[in-house]
Amino acid sequence: MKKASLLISILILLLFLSGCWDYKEINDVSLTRAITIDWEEETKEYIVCIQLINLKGMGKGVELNPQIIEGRGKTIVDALKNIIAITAKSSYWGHLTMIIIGQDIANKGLDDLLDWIARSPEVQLTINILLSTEKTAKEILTRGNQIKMVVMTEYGMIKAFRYISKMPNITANKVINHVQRKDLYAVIPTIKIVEMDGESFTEIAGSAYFKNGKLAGVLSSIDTMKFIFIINEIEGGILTIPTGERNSYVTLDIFRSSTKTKIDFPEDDIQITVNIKPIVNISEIDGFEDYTNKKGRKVLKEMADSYLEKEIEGFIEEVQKSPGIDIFNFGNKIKKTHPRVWKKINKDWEEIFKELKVVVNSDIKIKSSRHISKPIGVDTE
Amino acid sequence: MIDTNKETIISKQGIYLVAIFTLGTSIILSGVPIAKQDIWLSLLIAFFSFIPLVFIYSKILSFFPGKNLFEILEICFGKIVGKILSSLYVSYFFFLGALVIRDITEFIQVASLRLTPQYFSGLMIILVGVYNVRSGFQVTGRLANFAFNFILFLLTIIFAASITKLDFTNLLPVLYRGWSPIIENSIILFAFPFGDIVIFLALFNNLKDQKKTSKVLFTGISISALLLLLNFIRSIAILGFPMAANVYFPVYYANTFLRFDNILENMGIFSAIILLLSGLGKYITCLFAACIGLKHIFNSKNYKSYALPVGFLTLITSQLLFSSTMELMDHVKVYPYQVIPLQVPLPLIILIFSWRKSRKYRKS
Repeated sequence: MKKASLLISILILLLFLSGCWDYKEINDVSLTRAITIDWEEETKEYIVCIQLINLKGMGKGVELNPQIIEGRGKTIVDALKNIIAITAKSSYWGHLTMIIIGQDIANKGLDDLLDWIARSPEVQLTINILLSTEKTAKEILTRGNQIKMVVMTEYGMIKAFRYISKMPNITANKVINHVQRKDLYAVIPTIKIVEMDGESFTEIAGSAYFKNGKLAGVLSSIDTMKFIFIINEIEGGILTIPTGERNSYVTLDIFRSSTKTKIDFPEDDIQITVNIKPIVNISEIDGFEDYTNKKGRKVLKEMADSYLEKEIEGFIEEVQKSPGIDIFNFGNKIKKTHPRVWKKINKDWEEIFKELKVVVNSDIKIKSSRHISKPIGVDTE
Repeated sequence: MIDTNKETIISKQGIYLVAIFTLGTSIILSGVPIAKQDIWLSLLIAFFSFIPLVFIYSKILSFFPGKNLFEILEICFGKIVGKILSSLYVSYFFFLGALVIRDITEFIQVASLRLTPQYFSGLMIILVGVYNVRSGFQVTGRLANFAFNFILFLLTIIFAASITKLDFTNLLPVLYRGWSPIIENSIILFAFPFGDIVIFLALFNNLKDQKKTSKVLFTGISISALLLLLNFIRSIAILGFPMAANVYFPVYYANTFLRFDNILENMGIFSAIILLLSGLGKYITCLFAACIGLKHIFNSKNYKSYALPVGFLTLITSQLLFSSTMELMDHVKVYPYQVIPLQVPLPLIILIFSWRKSRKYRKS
């Protein structure tokens, strides 16, 4: 009798205790896969677009049916609530992996957006924030191939990053940290539309940097790779080294790379040494020169080292000249390793950075030449 | 005499109970942003300055084997003063229990169930607590044993998953803003996870091996101090500043970064499980001590009948104490000044008195 009453009471509890007040039926929420946020200067309004996925059961499988819904509001949350008025469903954010922002909001300042992201219980701190280099962020959704857009967010840009290293891999959490601090600058990836056979696709490459939360400039995808080299976040990608011969290149596949930044103080001056140590495979040799034998490997190493050093040093000089912003976060390195020096110089850091001496040393290690030992070419004998 | 052996626990269970109690809600609620990246130093200072007190507490218990705090207070200070001091301690344990409930329910509301009333999620916890107190201290010991192993298992997974996400340079520079924020933070940590150990004065007369009290207390807080240290460092290394100092539950947010490929995209739920287990352990301990105290104050025969009313009162108090999350977090900074008198000076006085009384007591 006692056992039976216990069982009944447990069964009654089961009815009421599943998810408490917050349970959500899967058909009462709309799955959000992408979101774009724009700022309209004339009306002083946020324009938020969300891409919803309607799953339609077909005869054989499931068809993805993306839908774009726009909402306007004085704040981001206001705009999102206005979207609910259209969809009549609350949107589910659990699988959201990226937020695309327009240039207007970047010029206005990221603070409001980041405050919403950090405060929101649904948006996770691990999402990526991307800047649209098109006029508005909305275009990315409306003009781009929507199905492809869905696929892209699904596989995530983190995985793509491993193959090309042409965009900074930075989470919202890091952006929030960097925007709030004086010794760090936020650099986020950019997204644009490319036309291919009359169809539009989205491409993530390049980056944009911010000063005090406001957009300060953009880097091309090649410059971004150099930037990633300096901040030691290379996870893959390729290096094309021009050889002496005309129009011929050796392609090196980066297996792994580590960068160490050293700070010295010769005679009251600050010198920064960036030591880059990539481990590479030879993945393509154009031309007839054999770079796989002992002598050739040495030549190739020297060639690649000097190429890398020249390119990266040139890039740093360029940044020192034109925006003059410490996007490489050298200031933060000084703060961490030499806090006493930083206390003295942090006020004039922007000026000091422009005159900073930066030396780049590269030490490439060639690990393998893949499947063959000699380049393919017509035998000269 | 109803099952006296149901009230004793072995020293292994004692160690686990102390460890869980100390982890308590601190394992999630390390949101004390004063020392920032030097919080590990604060934790070490708090831990090492607390060690002498461990021996003071166990010395007090060793003077009167088998007697708990409330009995000792009556022996040392007489009936009236003893009862006044007892009621002070009972109210401390009562409010600590309420605070623990509030921490847990607040976390549940902020992190996931926004619409669920805190009374309801709190009710689920206190019902388990009340059931446990009514089942006796031995059950608590066994619960501690299970919960500790489970927490350790989850923490191992979490630590393994976070290896690739750690950026230890977030802990630099050390001592950038001097010692004062570190000391300020260590006072808070001294009172909040460590100082609350004073509660075991009311419970560890139930330890099977009375000679091992100091060993049990010391091992327990050492284990939990180590786990707390690793957790603080881990959450800072993952989140970085100022975010680690800005979010209410840094450990939870650090866990949301952990993923196991596409199978498990977010380990935030693990911290909720850990908080529920360790917080429940802490709550049960508080409820136990409060009930035993009430039994001695009112000279009742059994403490178990107090469990249900006291449990419900802690639930109600927990919701009445603070009107918002912000108030709860602000209170963490005030808390040490409310409880340190009961954690340090009073036990010292008790030690002196009990040293004098124990000789007379033994003769009689």
